[in-house]
Amino acid sequence: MSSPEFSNVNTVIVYTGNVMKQANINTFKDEASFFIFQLKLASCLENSLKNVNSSYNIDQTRGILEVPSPYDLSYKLKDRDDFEITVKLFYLPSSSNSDDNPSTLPPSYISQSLHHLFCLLGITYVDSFIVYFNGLLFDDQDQDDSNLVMDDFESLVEVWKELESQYRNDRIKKLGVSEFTKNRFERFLDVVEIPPKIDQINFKSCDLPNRMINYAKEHDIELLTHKDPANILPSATFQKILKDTKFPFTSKLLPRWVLKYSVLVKCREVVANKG
Amino acid sequence: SFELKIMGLISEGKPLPWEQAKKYAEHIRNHGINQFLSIYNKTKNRDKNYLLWGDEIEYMVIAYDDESKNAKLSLRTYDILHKLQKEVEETLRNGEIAEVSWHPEYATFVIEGVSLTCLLQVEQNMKLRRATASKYLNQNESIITLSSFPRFGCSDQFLEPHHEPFGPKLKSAFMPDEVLNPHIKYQTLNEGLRCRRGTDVTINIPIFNDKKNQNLFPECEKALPDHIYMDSIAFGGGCCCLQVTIQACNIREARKLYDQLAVLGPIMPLKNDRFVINKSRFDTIAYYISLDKTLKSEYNGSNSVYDRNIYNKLIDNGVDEILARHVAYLFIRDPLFVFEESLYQDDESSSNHFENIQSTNWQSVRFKPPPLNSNIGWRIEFRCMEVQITDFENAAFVIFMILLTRIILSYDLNFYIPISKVDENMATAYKRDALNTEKFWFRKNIFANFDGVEDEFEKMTINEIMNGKGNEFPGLINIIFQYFESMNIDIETRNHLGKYLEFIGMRASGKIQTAATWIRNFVRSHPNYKQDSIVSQEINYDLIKMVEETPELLSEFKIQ
Repeated sequence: MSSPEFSNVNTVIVYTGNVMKQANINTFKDEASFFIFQLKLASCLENSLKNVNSSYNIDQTRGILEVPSPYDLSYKLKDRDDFEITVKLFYLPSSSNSDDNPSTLPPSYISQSLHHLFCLLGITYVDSFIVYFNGLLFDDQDQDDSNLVMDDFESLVEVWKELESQYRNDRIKKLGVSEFTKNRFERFLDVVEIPPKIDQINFKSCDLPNRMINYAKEHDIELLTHKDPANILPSATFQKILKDTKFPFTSKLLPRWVLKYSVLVKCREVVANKG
Repeated sequence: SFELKIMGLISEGKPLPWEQAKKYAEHIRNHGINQFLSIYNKTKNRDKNYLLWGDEIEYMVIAYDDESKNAKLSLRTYDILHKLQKEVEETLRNGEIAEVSWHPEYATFVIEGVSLTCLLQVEQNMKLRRATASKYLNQNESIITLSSFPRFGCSDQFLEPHHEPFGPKLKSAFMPDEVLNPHIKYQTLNEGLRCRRGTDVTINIPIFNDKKNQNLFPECEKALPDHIYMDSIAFGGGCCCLQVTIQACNIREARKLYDQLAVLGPIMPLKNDRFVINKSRFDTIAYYISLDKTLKSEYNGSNSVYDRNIYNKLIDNGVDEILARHVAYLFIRDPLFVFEESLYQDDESSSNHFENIQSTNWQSVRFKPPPLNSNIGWRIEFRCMEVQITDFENAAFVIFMILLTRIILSYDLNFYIPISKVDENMATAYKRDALNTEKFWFRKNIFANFDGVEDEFEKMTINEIMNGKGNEFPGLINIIFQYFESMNIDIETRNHLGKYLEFIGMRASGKIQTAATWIRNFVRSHPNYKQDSIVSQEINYDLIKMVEETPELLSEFKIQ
């Protein structure tokens, strides 16, 4: 791998490939363990990055290096209508690319991540897009909203405006948020034009969040569940993977976002693809 | 009545007596194959069928005699069934949807499953079945789901109305002929089975030895010491079970699921006292039939029993070798009942003869081609589960099976072990308390990306298979939970489904006892029990009353 080829690269996109086909014993350990989850995501990334010497795509004009997964052959979906595609974009702690303002959330990640997914799957729209803003935790009693200060809030709204634009362009059929409490929703609904139709909450089997359940029913919001950890890909973990797989420019790379996608076969409830 | 399970075909008309029926065996087999080929060629390319499922539960009707403290099996079942069927006809005539349908052995419903939330309707519909049937009961009657009636065949009065044994049909020392379903078809089936075998049925099941041993059947020469002796097929047929039928999207998927679920057969709870005849109609499958690369030839072993002529005919008509062998194996059986009126059929528009042979093979999993003139696709019927006392439990098992098929398809799971090992598992499963004390052969690595060939399988407990084994095996239930994370499920559905799975997990680990264990404990701690392995009339009465009130085995799983 010659260095001059990568001299213009400023962005790296890594694909995990279909994780359903890469399942092994580690995939099913208790999700509550922070490290175990990272292990799964990390191992998929690792698989892709290990093979970077033999397979990668580089867009010289835009400076983008893509690292595909070695498990994938061709993903392009046939019969798009048979499938329901859900994506979730995680804004990571290091998502801000502004030195001045570390808490900005660049709306550009939305179009960027969608673009790569569309190319990967050969599609032109997704059925649901859920956005997760780093640091948000769900508390049904809404006791603590301290991590949603004014600056952050404006940043959320900017991101949402971009989502609304994608929605209007028919690239997204349904918009959603994650870890939003009743208070957050009310505050949000005051300022946005297209309301979220989905709220995805971390599932705990002990208590049902009845306050939110009632609110969701009243406002026609789908209350879905997930078990993703709050920080899906810490920078330290990512850099360790890069180091372990001997990837060229380790120190300069920070993970900005993670896009998680699920391709479900409608009316058969089978997961066709997930990454 | 709760009698012999004959799936599918219900024909009218008079069946031929066995001596005459025998002559038409070849005829029916030949035409059955033609009919199969006709269906196969019309539907082999059917694709994208939705996930549909149905379940079937068998019920017992109990008649109480409170004065003499006797709980008896009621023979009014046929009348009750008749009224229930009339009610369904009425519903359909009014243009409404019938949510439940009733058959001589089972009540069934089929639901269009288009989302996981629909799974929550399973239990609701089971409750509806119970409530609907209850409408036609007498004051002193109740309807229960118990895998077998404890005093079936006992010497005093266990039937309402009472009849004497030693009838001309069953010729049983214990069972009056009246236990047979009055429908003429079932009477002929019994005759066919007895004549075909040439001898009477002899069943000896090891007795639960308690403090006082005794020889219970001194006059019966075929009775083994320390065994419970039964002499009629009616005993086996009298067990109640729970069955699930799942529609696959196409034939390839159906064949895959058939194989994978066949391995799971012995792992799921079985009927308590079903008798075992080696590779008879009532047994595990004989051959795997999937087209997947993961099916290695050694899994099928050296079994080579099948009808060569039929095999060749199927091959000549475009069926692949694997499927041809499966069908040719099913067709070694003679038809057990033959209706004179329907002997001559148009093979392009009738599937009677095919269904005749197909439905008299009682394997643990059944591969069902689409019915004629319908949009229904290729299906798998999973037939191994014991009916549970409560609808919550029955629903949990049905839901588990459906979700199991979803993870098999989503993760491309591979459960293959040699069929001989599946047979061994089946034998192991019959042992008392097998759930908690026995180990079963199971594949070590069930994921798609495994390349190794050494030591593919090992022995695991049911708990390990379901709940996991440390770093070595994830546990089927954990895989299902992980699958939920990829689906869009609303939080209440997720919570409810979680409860069903939690229950299955606790049953697998022994934290919640099985009905068999509960019954054993109930009997042994009853004041009337004499430590002699005998369930008296009074113990039985109290037991059945308890069953009816549904014991608090499951209080922690009450869902608001």
